[in-house]
Amino acid sequence: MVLEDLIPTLERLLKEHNVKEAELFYSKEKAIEVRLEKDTVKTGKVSIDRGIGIRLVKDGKLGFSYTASLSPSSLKEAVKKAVNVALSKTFDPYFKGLPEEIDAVPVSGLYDASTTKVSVEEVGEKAATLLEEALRYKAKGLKSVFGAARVSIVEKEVYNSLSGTTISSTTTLSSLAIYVVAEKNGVQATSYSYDIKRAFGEVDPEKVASDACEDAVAQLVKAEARPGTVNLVLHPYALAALFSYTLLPGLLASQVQERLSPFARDRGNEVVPEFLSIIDDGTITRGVGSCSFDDEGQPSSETILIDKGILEDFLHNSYTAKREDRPSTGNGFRRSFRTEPRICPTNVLVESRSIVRDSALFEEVRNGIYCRNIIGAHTANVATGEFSVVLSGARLIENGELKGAVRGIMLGDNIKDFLRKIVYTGKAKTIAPLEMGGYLHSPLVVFEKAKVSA
Amino acid sequence: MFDEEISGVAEAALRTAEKRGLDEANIRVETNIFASIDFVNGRVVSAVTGVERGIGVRTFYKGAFGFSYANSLSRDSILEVVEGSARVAKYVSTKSKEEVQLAPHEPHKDRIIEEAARDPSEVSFEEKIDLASRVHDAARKYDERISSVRVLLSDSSRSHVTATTSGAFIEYYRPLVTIVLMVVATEFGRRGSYVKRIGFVGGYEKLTDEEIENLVKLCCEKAIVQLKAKPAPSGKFTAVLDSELTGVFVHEAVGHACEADSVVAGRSVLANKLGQSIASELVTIVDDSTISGRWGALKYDDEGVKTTKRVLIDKGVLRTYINNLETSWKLNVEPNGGARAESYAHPPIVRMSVTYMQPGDSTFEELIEDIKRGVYLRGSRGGQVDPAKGTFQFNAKEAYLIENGEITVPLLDVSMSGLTLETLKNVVAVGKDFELGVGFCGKMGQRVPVCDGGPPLKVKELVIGGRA
Repeated sequence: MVLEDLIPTLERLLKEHNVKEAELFYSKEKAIEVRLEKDTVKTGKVSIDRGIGIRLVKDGKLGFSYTASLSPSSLKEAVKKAVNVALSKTFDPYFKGLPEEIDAVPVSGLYDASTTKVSVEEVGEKAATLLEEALRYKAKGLKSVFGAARVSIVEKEVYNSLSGTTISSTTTLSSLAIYVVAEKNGVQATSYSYDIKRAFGEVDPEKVASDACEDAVAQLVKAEARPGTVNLVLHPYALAALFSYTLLPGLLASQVQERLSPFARDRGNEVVPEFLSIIDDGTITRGVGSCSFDDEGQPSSETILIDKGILEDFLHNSYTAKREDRPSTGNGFRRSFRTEPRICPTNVLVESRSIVRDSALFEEVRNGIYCRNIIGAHTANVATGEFSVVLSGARLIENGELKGAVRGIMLGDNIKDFLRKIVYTGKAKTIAPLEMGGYLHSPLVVFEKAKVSA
Repeated sequence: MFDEEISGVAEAALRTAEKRGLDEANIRVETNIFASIDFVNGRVVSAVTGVERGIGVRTFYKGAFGFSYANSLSRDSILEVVEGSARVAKYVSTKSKEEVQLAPHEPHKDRIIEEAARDPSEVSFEEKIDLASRVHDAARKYDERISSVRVLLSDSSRSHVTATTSGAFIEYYRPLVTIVLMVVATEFGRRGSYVKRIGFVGGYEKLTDEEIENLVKLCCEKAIVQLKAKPAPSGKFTAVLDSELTGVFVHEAVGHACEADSVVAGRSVLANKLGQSIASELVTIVDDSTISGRWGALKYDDEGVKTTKRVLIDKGVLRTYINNLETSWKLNVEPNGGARAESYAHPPIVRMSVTYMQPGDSTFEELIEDIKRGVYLRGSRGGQVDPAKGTFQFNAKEAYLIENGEITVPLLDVSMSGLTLETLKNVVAVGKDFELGVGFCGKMGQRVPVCDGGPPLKVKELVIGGRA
């Protein structure tokens, strides 16, 4: 372990500065990526990014700093800076110190040994296969293919001076992403798809390519939708975009405590129909958002946010948890060692007890709009939950059948009102990355009386 | 001050790269000293100060690109990054089906040092926290309805070297300071909010009391007005956009579609339209990197090419795209210096700099006087564009109904959307006032400083999405 060698130096420095509470966070990410651009393997990238973030408490105030160099002299400099930051801060009455203990829960399948040995060439081959699979759709109107294959190996360590212990983990992550453009008779359509797994051997280029290409090609046929209220089927990709800027920020304790969440006063209230539960579970075996501990060394957990329609809990890191004198939910994550932990979901599960088989879903909906992606979700008002977005890759559902693409449809609502319009869901779950971090695992979700304008 | 050490690192990396038989190596080394403070409702929720140092190497070999970076400037790292990047380029060249070259260009050697009277790296952290807290307090005390205030203060002092095996060697030093103020007003269970960024090339001398007073006043008053806002109608309206929203439209809908990487990739609605009339004759749109000392402008781009003023649309006719060396070669045009990278950890890609619509001759009153029922949209909370389809969606920060030539009721959460090409044709009048705003533009995971702006703009048949 990397931190082990630095701990004696750290302890000495803490004594010199008269600091009792400190935490070191080390991360190293090694990544290989090969990108496709306009129907060819185009660029490759290899990178190593590593360093240490330090948090410490001086005069009851929290200081943070970081260093990319692991030498004792750099650590000394970083400690000094963190002390300075703490001293220059105003006193925060809600800050109750760093976690007293660190701990990990066993979560298996987050590391795949063979993935750590993958070469640039192997990543390149996977990207090339992705491309070939997509190019099969040329005759059907596919115009161009973009995408990437990527693997990363992430090492993390957390040392906590209060417990005097260190925990560590190594995880692997592999992904394929594709973006395709189709064109016929002057009509253009785009679509995208992902596959994210822990093991490089498990990502499936054929599935990713066909998923995006089928969707883009189907959008080449035009259809007309009338504005008004419609049945709306949202794909998990569309939900991930919408939830990242509406529902999920509203379920972070930091937003709730700052009164910037539309759900701030809704604990115990029904916020979605009773057949739905929403759970953040960082402990799923092989889960792409799972971990055995968060970036503050707090054990990962399952947090039931919404239980059978009722809002039960919010996501916490140690700061927001201590402010309410409760345990953290283990959702304190950092973008890298350069930043302080903020609250971020892990695996967000949409669990439904009102399910229609996926193969019969459009038949059940009869008439409406199916939408795979939305644009403009980041313009939502996080504090109030108001949003106004454009449906993209949307298709008409007519007499139970999926028809051509409808364009320029806007959807505007308040997330609290919108969630109450859910009537049932599909069955199979798709994993979609959340822009705020973490992953959404959701089936297709059907809303009734959604207000759209064209 | 400029970190002289990075020039030596760049030279060492150049020498290593020159021995690898590459078609070109682009080496960028940087030291960035920065601080950021997030001050929310009376408390510092995050305070970070750090030094970022690293090297990024882009290699080009037989039409293929390799890229590698490390956040360390040790001798081993330099070697590893150059070797790694070269290996990737050579591998990809065996797979790539594309014939590409980098356009010929004149390599420059230059040193550009932008001095600040109060350089961010020399101002104490305490003083910065004090400033953030003063901005916070001023907003808080502005009106009793102000219920939540967030101040994001950040600065950076960036030393940067771009060196290429084609002979470019550009040394840069640029300090930046910026403040974002976010204000929420509450009254009788209703909420209004407003957010605004100001930013400068230079040091803390630029954040004068006057600038801060204006920022606080603007944000608080706008948030309070929103308390009285009513749900907006939906449908097609004649709309007037203010300078800020015009800038966002110009940047997002037109500028991105003029980025030649999207054009050559077939991902731009403006591909194959050079020389064609694509907009009302009233429309002239410029992307200008050459305005000295302007946020987002730069004398040389990150491929070491001297930048230019690019007239993208001239009186309605599409004239130019924004190019890097690769797209210049593909489109057989002179390079115009449009390649930028967020930092050493990213390869240069085609980007905008200072993008604006040129003002026309209508007064604001003339823009609205004959509108019976329309919408006045101000500012943008953001937006999104699909440059391939040419669709866009923006949310206005504030909006008002226009009734019989007068601005009347404030409206809630209004967004506008449409097709870029239709909207450009539907511009019916261009105002004479002009403003530029500062911000950051994100593309392919890279965030760079940009300016955008223009005059107020009158557009017919714009799709407005509201909740009424």
